[in-house]
Amino acid sequence: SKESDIVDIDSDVKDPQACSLYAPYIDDTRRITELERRPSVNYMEELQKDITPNMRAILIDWLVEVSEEYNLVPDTLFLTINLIDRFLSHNYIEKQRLQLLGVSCMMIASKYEEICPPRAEEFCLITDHTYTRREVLKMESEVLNLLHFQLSVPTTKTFLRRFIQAAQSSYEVPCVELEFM
Amino acid sequence: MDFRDKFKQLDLGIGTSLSRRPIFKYLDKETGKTIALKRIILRHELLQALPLTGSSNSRQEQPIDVGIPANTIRQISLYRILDHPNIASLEYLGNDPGDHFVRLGFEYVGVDLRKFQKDNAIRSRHPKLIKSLMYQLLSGIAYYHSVNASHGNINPTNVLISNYGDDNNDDEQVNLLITNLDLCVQPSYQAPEILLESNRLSTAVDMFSAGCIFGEMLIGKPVFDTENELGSIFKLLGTPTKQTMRGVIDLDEKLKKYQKHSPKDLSETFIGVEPAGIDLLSKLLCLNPKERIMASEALKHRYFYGIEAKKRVPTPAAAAAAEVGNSSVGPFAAEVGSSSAGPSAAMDSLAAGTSAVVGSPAASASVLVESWIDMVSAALDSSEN
Repeated sequence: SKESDIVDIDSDVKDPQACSLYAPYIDDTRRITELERRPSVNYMEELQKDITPNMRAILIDWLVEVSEEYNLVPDTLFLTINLIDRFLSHNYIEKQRLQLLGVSCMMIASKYEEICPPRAEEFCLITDHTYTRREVLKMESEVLNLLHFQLSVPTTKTFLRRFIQAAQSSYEVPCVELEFM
Repeated sequence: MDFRDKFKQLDLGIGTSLSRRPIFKYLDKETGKTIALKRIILRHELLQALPLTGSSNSRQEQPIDVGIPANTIRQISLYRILDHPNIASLEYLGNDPGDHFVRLGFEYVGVDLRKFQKDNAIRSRHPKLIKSLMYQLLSGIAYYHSVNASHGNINPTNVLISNYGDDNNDDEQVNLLITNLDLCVQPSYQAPEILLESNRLSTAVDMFSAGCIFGEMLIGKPVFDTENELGSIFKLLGTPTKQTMRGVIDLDEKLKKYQKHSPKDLSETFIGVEPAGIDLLSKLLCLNPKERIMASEALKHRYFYGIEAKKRVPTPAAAAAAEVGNSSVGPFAAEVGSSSAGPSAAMDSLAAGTSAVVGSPAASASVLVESWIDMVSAALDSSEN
């Protein structure tokens, strides 16, 4: 029958880190959380007057480089982008401060995810001291206040991990390259 | 809205926090709810400016240059996801305009366990009530552990009892809440490995505290002494040896000053307690944290067989943790801790290692910065036109 062709990707009950027994519940919870804390889809048109989608793209390209420079884990990068989008969904920002928002969000995400987060000075340095430490710290608390410290969110990376697992269930060797997407 | 407009202070304070500052109750003028307010100090200079009620050894004490400390960020984002009937919810979150501290308002209902026991001396020792309260306490702790966190300071002032009404009220209705206020008391209700200053702490620390509370409910007074807490722990449970505390802590030096005791039979101290209760107590008050019972196992202990079905249904998180029998990998585990704790750890370290190779080692931070700053500003200029 057709049903028997479907592979159960949660069949590995022996590996405690795979959380197989309740993987479906984790997935459900994450999807619900995602709906609750999703950034608005049209903030560029509705709210932002000064910045454009192109500027956001440039900022994110730059943040990818920064995260490589400081050897940050991928989760930090994805969380950073989630924080930026959620901030921009509710707050108007001038283009001069967009990069400031970017580094401040990355600093928050590093503190949440990394074992040794880079210091505020290092984030100033990476902007070639365009912004002072005081500005970065002020933006940090502005972002945290706006988001009410709600940082436990599923990101693209969270779901990607699950999808890769599903996609590879019939292969023996895990495909590491996909991790670097 | 300004904090002072929204809330009204209620009394002189309900206790002292871990950072040795008083904690006050406030009334929400709009909703009529009571909250207990905890403040997390963010700025170093303010720590120096505020007079402390004791010697300063605060966890929040960090130099100013880190901005909002990583611990605070993780701590508060954890409070944001906690959702369990036996854990006090975070009702209010706000900061002062100068960013010197964050205010956390936790739900505060009823009275704390210490006052409850004092005011209801006879009723609080009713076996059925103790069983119901212990089940709720352990459910709350199991939930903490299922999200890969530990409370770290379970004691009678951090446990609230509500809905107890008068003496005829049904014991099953009495509700227990664990709060995150970090109130401190003496004795500390802390596990021996904390008192021995071990650096390998785990979620097992909460279980010992739960054991202390259980014992106190059974005999109506604290199990261990205020002055010589560790000494009295060893007097009852036996002084640990290299064999009994293997792999936990290097004992030789620290144990020199303690008298050698052998473990006592708990049923002699806790007279008239049912055997299942003694068995659970001995598993909670186990000296070695590695052998101490886990919250999810404790909920399945035969002592709780009498608990009604409705109370026996734990939250999905606790249920899932109980199924696997490993509280450290709850459903939210990957979302709470640092990425090193999640299932992704292996992949992440691999990724980090590779990106180090990809990014040219010769390119220093500042070189990268300059090239990127130029590109960003050029791009911003062009998109402007």
